Amino acid sequence: MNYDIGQPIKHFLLILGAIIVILPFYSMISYSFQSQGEIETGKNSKGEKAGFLGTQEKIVDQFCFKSNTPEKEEVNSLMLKMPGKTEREVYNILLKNVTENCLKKPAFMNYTQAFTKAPLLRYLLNGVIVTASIFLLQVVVALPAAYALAKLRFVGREFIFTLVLLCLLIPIHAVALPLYIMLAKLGLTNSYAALIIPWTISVFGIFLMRQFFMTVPDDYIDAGRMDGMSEFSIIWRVMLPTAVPALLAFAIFSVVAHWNDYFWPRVVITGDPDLFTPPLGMRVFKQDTEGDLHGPMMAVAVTIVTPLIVAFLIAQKRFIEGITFSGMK
Amino acid sequence: MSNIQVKEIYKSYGNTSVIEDISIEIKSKEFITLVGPSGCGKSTLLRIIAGLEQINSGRIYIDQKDVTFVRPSDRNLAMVFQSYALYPHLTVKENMLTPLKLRDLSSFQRFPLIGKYFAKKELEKLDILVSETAEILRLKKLLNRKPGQLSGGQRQRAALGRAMVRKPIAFLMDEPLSNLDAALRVHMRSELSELHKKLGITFIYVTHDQAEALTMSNRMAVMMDGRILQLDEPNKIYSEPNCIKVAEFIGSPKINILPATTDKLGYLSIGNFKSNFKTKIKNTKIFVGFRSENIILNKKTNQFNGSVKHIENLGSDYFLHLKVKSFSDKIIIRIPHSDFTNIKVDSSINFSINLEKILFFDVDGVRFNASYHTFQKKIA
Repeated sequence: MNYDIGQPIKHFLLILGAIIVILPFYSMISYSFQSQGEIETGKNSKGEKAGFLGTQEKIVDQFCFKSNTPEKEEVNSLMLKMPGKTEREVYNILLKNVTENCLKKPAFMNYTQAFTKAPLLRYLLNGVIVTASIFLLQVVVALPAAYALAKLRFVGREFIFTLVLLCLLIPIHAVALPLYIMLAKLGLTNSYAALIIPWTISVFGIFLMRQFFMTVPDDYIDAGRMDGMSEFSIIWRVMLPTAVPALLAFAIFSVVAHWNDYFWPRVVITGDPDLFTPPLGMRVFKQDTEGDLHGPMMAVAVTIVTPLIVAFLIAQKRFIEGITFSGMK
Repeated sequence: MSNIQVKEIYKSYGNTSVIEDISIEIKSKEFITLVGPSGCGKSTLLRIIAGLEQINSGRIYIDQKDVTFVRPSDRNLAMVFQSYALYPHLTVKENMLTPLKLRDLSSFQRFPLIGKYFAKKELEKLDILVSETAEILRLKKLLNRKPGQLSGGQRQRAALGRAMVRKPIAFLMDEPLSNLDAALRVHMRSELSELHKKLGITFIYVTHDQAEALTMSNRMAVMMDGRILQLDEPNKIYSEPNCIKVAEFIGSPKINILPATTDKLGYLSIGNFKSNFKTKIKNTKIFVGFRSENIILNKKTNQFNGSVKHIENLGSDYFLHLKVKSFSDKIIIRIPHSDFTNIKVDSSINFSINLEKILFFDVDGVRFNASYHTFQKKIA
């Protein structure tokens, strides 16, 4: 046996890398099961170690407690049934009941709070509407543009392609303010349009599809022309079906970016919480004066990333095909 | 009747000229081959006829109608590509239906998902057309397969099918056999010839393989550097090439070209060999060409002696590459299997040229007739 010292080192480095990538997800999932105390100290009230799933020691749900705090009338009506007790004593009995009723396992509590305190289903629906619209519009714009840049001969083609490449270098944050002002002047802030329109032209999409179309043989296009297709028919009926792997790769980049985007929705959605996208849902648990509620926040985070991870696992094979397509042929 | 006329066309990409002054008339029902080395402009000419390339000047007529600026699909020509270019996401049947749908259905009837419910009658008609074509090409069993599931020969037939279904006035074929293996290529040659006879449609066929051109076509155009050098029947091109370039390109192995001279009386001498073959021209430097089969192995009156440098065994024949003193180029001769006895590399071979079959070229490479009675310089 020839023992290669390089192999264990390589594996060690790869494992290290994997740990660095996985660790935040590990904490996110673990925290989503734990109470605030466990998250902050790593122990429960009896001093037991929390571990991955937490100890699931029951704690008082603060939201439940606050909304059920006994009110004057309740105390008064109970005082009639319990003669001989002071107002304070009755109040304490009621309070004890409430506290007991609001005792919940932290995992259950975090996830119910995520879906009740923040209308997370609504946010998820918004996320689907926004990311799907963005992707579809990006395809509608990018495919014809990429086709023209890859396959048609016209004056200024190289110049336009250079502009596309230059646009790849501009970060969104640089143009966020002018974009916001434009949308505000058009009266479009706080609308789906504000979330979607700035993203419809994806230079990355144009660039990626152009590179893919360069590898598609011209014969397909000529065959389409001989068969009587218009240039747009060629794009939708010939180029689109051959470009499915590349489109899938682009879809993942686009959907992941806009599903997870916190910055832009935060800028243009200022009032109406009905338009919040899933990442904004985490803000509900960011309570500046009383400290953040990390448990429910992490529950929201888990809920947001799960659809993406499931989608990736389903499309994994095609996704990797898409990334390596340039190596084919 | 549907003849295709190409008149004085020029085509260039930037400063590089691809087609220079080509005029050609393609007769109805003819099988014409455009043959030449790669980069000679033959594919460009085909694509110009198809309408896929614009031209700088000139005119194209189909049935005396000017189609120079008519869209490819409206010229009613069909093209078979080297890569077949079958739409990979569609089955063979859908591939064949595509040109028919685009021609016969309205854009509303072609609308995705719902369109087909408004075009039932039309689609039935088209299905019949497809199955007729599939019958001719023996594609029936393959109709529901996708191109990826077909072998090379089957893809070739499917591509022919897509071209045939709409009954075009001419087939344009761009090296359709070059992606097939050698045995299948030879087989498809005869299939294509048969198909041409059966369909009675014009075939315009582009190839760099002179064997395909010689075996299949009624006429062939030999192209080089953007010009047609010679347009004639295959046997004429083989036996009477009008210049050295054509002579060298057509025929395998390559024709032997040797420098020669004529003396005061017109007697021809090739290298050191003085013949008693009298020509009409006197005191001139010329070139002579003879094909590998036009030699005589004769041990009494030998004109040349050469040493064997390389032997190619083709089964029925042997090609010997000979080094003959006084000539810088090697001479290739063909010997039938029966005459091949104990010849090895470096053996010495004596042979004579059959002077009856010799071709004469002037110093510029243009062939002329130098035998006794007619002396007429042909202009290329």
